[in-house]
Amino acid sequence: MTTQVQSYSRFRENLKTTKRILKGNPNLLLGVILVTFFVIVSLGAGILDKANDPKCEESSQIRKTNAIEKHGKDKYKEHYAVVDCSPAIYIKPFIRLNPPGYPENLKNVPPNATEDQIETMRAKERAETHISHWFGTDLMGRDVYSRTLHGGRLSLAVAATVSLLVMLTAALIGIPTGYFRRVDNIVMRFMDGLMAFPSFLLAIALVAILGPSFQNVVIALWITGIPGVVRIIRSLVLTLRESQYVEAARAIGAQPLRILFIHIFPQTIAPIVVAGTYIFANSILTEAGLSFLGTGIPPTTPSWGNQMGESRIYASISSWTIFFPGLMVALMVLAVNLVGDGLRDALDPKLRRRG
Amino acid sequence: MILSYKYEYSILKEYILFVIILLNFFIEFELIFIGVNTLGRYLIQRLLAIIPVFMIVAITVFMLIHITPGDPALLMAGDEATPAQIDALRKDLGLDKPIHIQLVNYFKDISRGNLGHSIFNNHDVRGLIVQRLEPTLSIAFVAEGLAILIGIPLGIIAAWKSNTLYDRLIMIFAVGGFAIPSFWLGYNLIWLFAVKLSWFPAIGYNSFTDGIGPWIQSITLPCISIGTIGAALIVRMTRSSMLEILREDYIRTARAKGLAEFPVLIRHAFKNAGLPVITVIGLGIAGLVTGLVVTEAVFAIPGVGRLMVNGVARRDFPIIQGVVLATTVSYVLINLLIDLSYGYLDPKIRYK
Repeated sequence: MTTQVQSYSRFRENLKTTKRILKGNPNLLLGVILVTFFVIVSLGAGILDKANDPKCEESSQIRKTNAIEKHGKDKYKEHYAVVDCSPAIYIKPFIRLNPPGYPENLKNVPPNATEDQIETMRAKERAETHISHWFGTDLMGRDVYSRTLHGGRLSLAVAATVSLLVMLTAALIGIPTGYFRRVDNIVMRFMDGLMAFPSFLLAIALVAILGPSFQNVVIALWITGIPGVVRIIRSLVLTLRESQYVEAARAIGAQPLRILFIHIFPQTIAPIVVAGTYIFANSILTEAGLSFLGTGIPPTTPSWGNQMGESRIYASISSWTIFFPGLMVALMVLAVNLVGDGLRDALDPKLRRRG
Repeated sequence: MILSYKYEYSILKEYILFVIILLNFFIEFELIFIGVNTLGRYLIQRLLAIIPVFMIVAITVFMLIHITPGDPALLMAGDEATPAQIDALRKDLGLDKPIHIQLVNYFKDISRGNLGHSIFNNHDVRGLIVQRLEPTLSIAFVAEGLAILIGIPLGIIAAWKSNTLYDRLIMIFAVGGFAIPSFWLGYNLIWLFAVKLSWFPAIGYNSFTDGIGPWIQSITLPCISIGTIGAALIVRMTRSSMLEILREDYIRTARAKGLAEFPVLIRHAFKNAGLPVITVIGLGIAGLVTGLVVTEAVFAIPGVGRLMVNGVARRDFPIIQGVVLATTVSYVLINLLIDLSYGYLDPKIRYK
């Protein structure tokens, strides 16, 4: 009973602190809201996309019956196209590239039709199909909106995996490196060497050589992400090991492992988390860049990057196939950066910068 | 064969000894500082710190080819190669030798400036890079110049008018510019300025030997799309370091003695706040490289980035290795130059 009361009061205390931090920092609040939105939308991509839209089925059915009425049972297939709302599967037998809001490319347009006539035909078609592709369709007739939702899933998965891995390994390398002088010189020379690479270039080279896949993208981003975080942790541990409480612990005979885990590690959590958010944001950007160049996530699964990469060839005639996924990348990175800045200010007042 | 093997092995031993001596120097550099002044000490320290970095960079680039799952020669030769072709390729790249000898050969090659040759068309990699340097360098310089010209004044204004609407707007630009993928910005610029307004060509590059006008027209959009990130970085750094300086006593004194706001900001504040900004410009070059690789693909510019992307698409490993090595070395050297100039510009380092 008492423990329940205690844990409840602690929970309320935590809630209060969280509320105070969020109230004092509107940017952090905005970032948290945006990130939560993206996470919910990405996790719910299977429900929110057009594949499960009953209207999609319905409009397909209506179009089918209309086509049968018009052209008879034998010939209707030539005049009827399935409204493909599935995010990944390629069914389209012909090319369609439609801006947002347009239901389909028109079929059976007379060659001498005026713009107005085409427009009325489009309006009729739209009324008939009930469905509009909010973000338009891409070259293969796939719904960009559905693909963007699913792409978010993948981008977030890459970024989350990479940032977790980087935080863990950087802590494992950085803390002993800062504490033991002898290790320091060797490890830091190695990290300096890795830091010397422009990280994007190293990531491309790694993925190009390992082969493009989810796993290899994660490995490449992981390797390029480690040295920066190790350097941050190491410089922090260098100051911590000279601090009085660590000296006191050493004086009463604590083992190095105990000092590292119980006295030093908790002090490094806040900076590691802050660095982790920046790694998260950077991973989204880098993954998008890699997939855009065709060296990232293979095109069978949609990600924000490869969606844009596939639209490269016909980008000048369809801005929407690149605009929407890119907008998502920009908003997501912006949100994560806001969260990172806010966390930095809230968790560690010493690190506070006005930038 | 055996003789040459022994010979190579002795070279390897020499190399290892050399590295150990260098590292020792590096660790106990107090020895060589006897009778050297502080600036000299700073210079030597920075120069020595480069050596292990270069060694590790070279070893990492060398190892890139060996981390492939399976036989690298098989992977490079492609699916349709005959065993004889694969063997020839292996011999050509020296992959049939033991790995430490390959490493020694690699060190020998790169110290002579030999980056190998392309598997795809047998061209010399160094020649390919030099050939494509002009578009890349011109875009890099103009973009970085643009970033500095936009970033520093905006940062100064943001710090001067801190917590006003101007500050907010500039910070929105800075935070947003940091989040936008440069290729996405590039496509939006193409859509607006090339497709809708047709002010600039959508893709391609005109060499400045063909005339300054077409050259500027062809690099404007790529430079804007790359420069935005750099500008955002510089704005943030300038603002934060200016904010710190503007709180100093001597700024208050300068204002109190009746100086106009402009000289206070430029001559008193920015002269001191500018030093961290120089470092950020150096670090921003990594972002510039990212931007160049991606943006050259967007605007179809025949530069080094495009060479890299093509090499990746064809699995042309020597090209990938060569471009990565050359870019990294120049990145490190630029940052070294910036560090050295920093030692020169900052009196605290000069007279410590």
